[in-house]
Amino acid sequence: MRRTLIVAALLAAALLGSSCSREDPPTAQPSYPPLTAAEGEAIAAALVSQDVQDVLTVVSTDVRAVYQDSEDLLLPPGTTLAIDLATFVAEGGAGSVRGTLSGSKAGAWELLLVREDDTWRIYGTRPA
Amino acid sequence: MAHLWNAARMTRRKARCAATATAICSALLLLLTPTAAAQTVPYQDCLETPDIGQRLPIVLVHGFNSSQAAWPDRARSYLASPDSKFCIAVFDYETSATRWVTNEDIGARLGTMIVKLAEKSTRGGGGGRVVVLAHSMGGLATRCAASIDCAGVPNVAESIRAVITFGTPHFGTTLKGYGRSVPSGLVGHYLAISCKLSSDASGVGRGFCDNARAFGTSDATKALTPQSSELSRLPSFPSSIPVRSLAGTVKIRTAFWGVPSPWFSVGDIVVSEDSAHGENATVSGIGGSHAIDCGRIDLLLPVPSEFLCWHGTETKDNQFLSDALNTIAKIRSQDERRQVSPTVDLDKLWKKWQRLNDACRGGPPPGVDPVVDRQCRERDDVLRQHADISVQQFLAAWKRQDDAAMQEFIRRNDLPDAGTLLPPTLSPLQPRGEFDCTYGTDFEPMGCYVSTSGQPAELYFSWTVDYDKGWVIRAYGPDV
Repeated sequence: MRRTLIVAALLAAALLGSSCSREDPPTAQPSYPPLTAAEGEAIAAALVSQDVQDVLTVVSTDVRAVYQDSEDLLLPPGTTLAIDLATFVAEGGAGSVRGTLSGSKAGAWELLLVREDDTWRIYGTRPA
Repeated sequence: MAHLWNAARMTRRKARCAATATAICSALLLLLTPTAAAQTVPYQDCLETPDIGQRLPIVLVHGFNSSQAAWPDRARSYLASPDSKFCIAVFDYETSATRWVTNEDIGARLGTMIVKLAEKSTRGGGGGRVVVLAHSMGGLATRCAASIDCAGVPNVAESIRAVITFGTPHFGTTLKGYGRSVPSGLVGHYLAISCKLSSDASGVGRGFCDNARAFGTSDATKALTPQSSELSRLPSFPSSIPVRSLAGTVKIRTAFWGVPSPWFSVGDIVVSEDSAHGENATVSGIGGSHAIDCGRIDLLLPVPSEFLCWHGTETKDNQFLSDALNTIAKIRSQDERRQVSPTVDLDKLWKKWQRLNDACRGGPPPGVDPVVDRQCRERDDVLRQHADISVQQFLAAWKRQDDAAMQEFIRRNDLPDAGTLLPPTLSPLQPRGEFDCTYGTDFEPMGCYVSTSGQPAELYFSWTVDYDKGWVIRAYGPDV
């Protein structure tokens, strides 16, 4: 029962939070610089690499270990990725930016970013 | 993620949400605020109980930037209701709770409290030791308290029967890992979301925001960084104390280009499983480590889901409290058996087992005759009781170097797995601490380890059941 209440509270609070409570700036969180053109180019270049180790250089530390020996990160050879810096948004240490893939996985993707060691790293992607 | 923070949408929703928020928060308040009846959750306070000698004292220690309120009455009552065999004493260091545990107001004062409570237990005719149940940094405070080198208080280790830790960052916190700190890491980001979400009235995650703010400024923060000099200097728990470590585990997953990752653990979001289990020890069947399932978070979803517990809720979580209570009950049961061991006549006890065994084996199958069923259960209890008392009496004989009494328990044979047989006397060695035994079921052999004063530094004893005699030692040695 207690767990049900906690989950209910979290989910309900989450719904509140996601739709209603974004007006106040997070007082405990410092602001971070936006994604720079150089960072965007580095991320785009790394993500289309055919070497997993290259890709991992722009992946969040927390996620990197999961993909250490995996090829799930790799895009088909010849794919290009164009990042639209104008779509970058961030709150606290987390942000996102849109990118467009060419090739067999062509389409618009949202790149999910987290601030680590004074740079933006990617921790996932989802269809935009 | 962009849509989460979209200001335009936010503006449109503002008016609608104000009303919705009020309604939902009110509903949550109703759900989560205890009813009038439930507000009365009595527990036995060690400082007030007139019969402390009959109870095992449990000392609750809170964590970083917290207070005694971290242990709600409901948890205290769950652990030590008035009709239980336990009582509660709470150590509160709220005014110093962002200091490192070596601060005099933390380690030394906790050590003093433990010793005084143990003395009170002794004066009341009790066992003279306490169980410490510590959350987060409270476990590190207990490590300091138990060491005279750290806290400067004598007799603390001897006053502790066992320690149970909830999410104690023995190797530091993930929030300070990889050279990052709140909220710059991915995990920190999610914790920050929880913080924002829990600014509602439910209080589910209350405390995180304060923790996050305090985290960047306190001296404990520096110490809780992985591989800090403070952590490396902190003494380990004495090996004689059983330590049960509980770790919360939240599973996370992400996806790249439509392919989901495997679920991976981020501990309880603040403390990794490795860190929480950094200190645990099993002594005489008490202690060890256990991971508590705290649910899952899909990073691709805008808000956490299936998220059942995290570091901040461990002191209120039924899974954590239930495991702690099981451990405490096991300790109490073990102590009760040991209290009677010096005076029990083992031969008489074994004759009782033989009578019960005859009645049980000669009776109908289980479930047919309740009287026989009761005799069978009692027979099994006596078998276990005989094992515990035999081990205790053998150890006592060994400690007083009574070879004749020791030989009463030793019935070696030449089975192939009998192991290395030592000379007929153990007298040159002294046992250190208690036997750490693993029981089988029914007639299966029982194995016990014990540390010694010399070489070999550890001995293993294989006990078996002799129908005419009861539990006897079949073989012993360093590699039985």
